[in-house]
Amino acid sequence: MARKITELMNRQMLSGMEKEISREVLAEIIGSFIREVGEHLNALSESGNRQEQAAIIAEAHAIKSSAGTFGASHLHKVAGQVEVLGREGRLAEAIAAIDIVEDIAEKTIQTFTCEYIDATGAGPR
Amino acid sequence: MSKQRNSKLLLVEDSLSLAKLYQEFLSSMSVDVIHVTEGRAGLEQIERSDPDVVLLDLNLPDINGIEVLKQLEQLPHDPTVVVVTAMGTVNTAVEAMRAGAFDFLQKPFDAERLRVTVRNALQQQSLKALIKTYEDNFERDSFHGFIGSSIPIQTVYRIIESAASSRASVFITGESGSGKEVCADAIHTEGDRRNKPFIALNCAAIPQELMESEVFGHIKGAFTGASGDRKGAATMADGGTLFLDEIGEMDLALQSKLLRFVQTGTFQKVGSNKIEKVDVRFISATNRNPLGMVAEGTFREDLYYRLHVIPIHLPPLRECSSDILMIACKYLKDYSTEEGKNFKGFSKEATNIMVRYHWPGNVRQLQNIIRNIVVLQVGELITEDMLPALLSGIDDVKTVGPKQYLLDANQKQTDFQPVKPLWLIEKDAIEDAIEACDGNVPRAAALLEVSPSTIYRKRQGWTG
Repeated sequence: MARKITELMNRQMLSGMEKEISREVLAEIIGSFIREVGEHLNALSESGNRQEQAAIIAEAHAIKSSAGTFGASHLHKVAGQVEVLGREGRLAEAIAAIDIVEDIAEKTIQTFTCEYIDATGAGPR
Repeated sequence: MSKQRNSKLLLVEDSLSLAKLYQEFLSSMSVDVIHVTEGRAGLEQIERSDPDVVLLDLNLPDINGIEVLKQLEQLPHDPTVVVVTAMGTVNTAVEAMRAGAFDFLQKPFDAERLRVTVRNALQQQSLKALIKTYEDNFERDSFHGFIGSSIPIQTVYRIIESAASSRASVFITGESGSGKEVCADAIHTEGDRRNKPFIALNCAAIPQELMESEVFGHIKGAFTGASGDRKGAATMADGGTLFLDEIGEMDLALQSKLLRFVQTGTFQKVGSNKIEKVDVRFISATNRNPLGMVAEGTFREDLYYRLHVIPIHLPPLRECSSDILMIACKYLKDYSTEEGKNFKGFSKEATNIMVRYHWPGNVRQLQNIIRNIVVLQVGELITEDMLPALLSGIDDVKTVGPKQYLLDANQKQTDFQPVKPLWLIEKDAIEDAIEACDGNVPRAAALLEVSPSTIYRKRQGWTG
């Protein structure tokens, strides 16, 4: 179980941020991050249904970008893979990989919520 | 005690969570952060807040960061831009740098990396401000199209800078060849109207009967030959600057129409009843004494006072003797490159002669002489013997007619010539020059070291 959480959440990175801006403030910001990932995930899923290449690339890029910054390593990786497939014009593969992004995103959100939102009482503002 | 102003940082980032995180990272610095989520809003904010540093995400919902950088180049503001992207490709970094970015941050980055980058960018911005202060307050050896660092020309630079952003009319006086059009262009380019049209009209070069149409335009059928509507300089200069060169040559009837235009900004095209309104900044110029023209009754006093709001007098070249060599070297370099020659400078004797000469034709005369030498001579150094005799003042007789100077400056004039009236000598000289140039008036004017408009005006005088 511990190993899986490490994959979804880079604790070392987040610990560095906590030292900079305090755990409470970071928890508030992570609340925004979780909300944004949810929004981009919905948009990515809709773009996949409509087979819109540019939108798939943009939404996957947005998820990759935030996930990388907040230490959501696994989500960063899979969203990045969808973005690359989209840029290479491999639309069918990119659309198929959206399911994986959704799955990993759900687990990432659960992990971050458990670690920061539930633990600190912070919520998305 | 005065409090030091915080630096301003504009953060253009569409992700609110990332924006909040960066703001927290920067909270320990003396920086006021303004946050926007889109590229166009970023450009608007740059115009409104004039930030020192811009932290610019490349992937934005409306226009991308590279486009923001390109549009920023068109604005008068010059913040130091750091580009932020998750792409992390070398190509993106190079493209951003080419488009004007100072540095490049690749996501994810930690707080210290962000602060170091912002600190460097602020330092870069301070250096830029320092250089600008230095340029504004210390001697410059060039300014727009002008070359020179002497005190009289520095004074001109300062007046141009102060007058440029105003809407007030400027009246430029100066001898022929002293750079009146260069001055008008510098005022336009230095001011807020720089991206709008600059329309120059030489009142001496256009026949009087066509002048009204040139200034205000005409409608179809307004006069014989008006086969269609035509915009005049007034319409074309809307939003920008209208430069009326040799304003003293404009006839009195048209001066009264110009007066109304200057006063109200309104005019009517020739043959039209419709009143049109434009926003134009006026710059006028003459090589004559404008008050003298008013006294003679050839220039309306009320128009003079409307146009003569900010006077700029361009000093003749002989009053800027310390600039002569600098200007000569600049043209020598330019013309040598153009003509494929190897000239690199002037001998000490040639320099002395040039600095002592009184340059009645000013910079235009200096340009022509340098061009002449570069075309006709070969070598690395311009020596005394390459200079036309009139510069050393040893052969004043030969300077009577330009023909002699043009053909052979060193040949002594021994034949007896019957005495002719001065105007006829001038007429002969001009006609000979035009003939030698196969009817090309501008080329003849260049060789005679006068402006083409002077020739047109004089020809009109002979026929009238």
